[in-house]
Amino acid sequence: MTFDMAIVQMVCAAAVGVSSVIILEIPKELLPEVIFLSVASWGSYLFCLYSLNLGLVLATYLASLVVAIISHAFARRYKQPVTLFYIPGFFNLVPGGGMYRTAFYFFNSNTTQGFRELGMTLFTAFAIALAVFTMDNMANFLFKSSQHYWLYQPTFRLPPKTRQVLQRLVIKQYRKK
Amino acid sequence: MEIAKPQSPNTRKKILETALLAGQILCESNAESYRVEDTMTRILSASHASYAVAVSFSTSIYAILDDPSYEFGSYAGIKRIRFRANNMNRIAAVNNISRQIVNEDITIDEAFRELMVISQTPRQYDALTNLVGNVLMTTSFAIIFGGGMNEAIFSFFGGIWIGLAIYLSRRLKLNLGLEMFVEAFLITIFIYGLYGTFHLNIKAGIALIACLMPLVPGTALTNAVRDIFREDYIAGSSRFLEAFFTAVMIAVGVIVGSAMIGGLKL
Repeated sequence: MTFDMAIVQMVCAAAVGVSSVIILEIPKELLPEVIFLSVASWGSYLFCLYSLNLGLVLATYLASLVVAIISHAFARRYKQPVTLFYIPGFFNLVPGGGMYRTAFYFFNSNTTQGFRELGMTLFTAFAIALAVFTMDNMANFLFKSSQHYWLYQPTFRLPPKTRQVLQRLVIKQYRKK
Repeated sequence: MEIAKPQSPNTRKKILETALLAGQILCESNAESYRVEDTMTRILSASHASYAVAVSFSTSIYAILDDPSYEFGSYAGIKRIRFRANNMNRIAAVNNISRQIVNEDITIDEAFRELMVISQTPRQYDALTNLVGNVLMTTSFAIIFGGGMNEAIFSFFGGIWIGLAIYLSRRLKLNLGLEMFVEAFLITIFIYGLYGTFHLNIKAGIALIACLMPLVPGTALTNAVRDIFREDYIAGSSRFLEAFFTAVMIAVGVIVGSAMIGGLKL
């Protein structure tokens, strides 16, 4: 892949960012961030694929990791749920075409090709989900955002008054953030 | 240390209803089950009940509220989710409301009213903007998939066609499978029809896949795997089936369309 082809593809990735803002109903204020995410994801994917000569799945994993890191940064900066950045960020990495091709080949009774596509599609989806999993757990570990969760679990039985006092305390602590 | 004041049964019921409504809006906007359950639990925690559980199975949501001090028994609610479409704006709005409830900035009645407003708000972008979005997407995906100028121009017109098809099938309120079938069928007829009639110098396969990109269930598949990673196996597998069903219906549409045009293969 030549350099100017890569530039053209980045411009197209930016256009995909704009269209994903419209199609996924993302708030208008986040348009520049989404375009940045889209370009970053496609750029890092192309870099992994052509400069580092990695495989498709590994390239997807690394690009998704980049998207996940930027998404968490944005989510904390703009106080928005992180899904708002994940879904447009992965928009040009998700294996939608592969899913369609799987069904297409199976219908044409081309089972070998169908299973090959299915494996590729599933593992691409797995790579993205694994990147999200990695980054979410890292964020949980770093920011300890869901530490109070055990208080609401039914397995943890306490006398009701003690529980109320504890919950009260935790909510106050949560409010400070 | 201050203890929460005892609430009236009506307030408890309202809290449960608020949590269920928030969960319904989130589920219908395609949020992951983990987020739905987390938001519902946070809203339920406004009741200070000792037993507050929320479950989301992606096609249905459940919530229950119980405490030893509840003299008339526990409160439980179920909602069925029949309709799903990506809508990040609503997710952001519900997240905002749940933050305000946890911070006790608004009362539960106000929150319920706000959520009702959110659930009634129409889509942020109008039909024409959506059409522009579809066209932009198909054109740029044609280039991303390795097509040249010809494929991009072809997908531009394909994008207009698929945008109109999506608009029409949303107006007719078709169900998911039928909608996918009709749209894929129409776009295949369009692409292969023009390709076969005028013998254009393009790669029809690339143009077709680029025009199918607004339909294909890539996000649904990835969300399914994400739910499975969160150990929500039922929600994950139901989403996976949804993605597979969508893909199968698209493939059926393409196959029927290309068979009608004359047995052209990808």
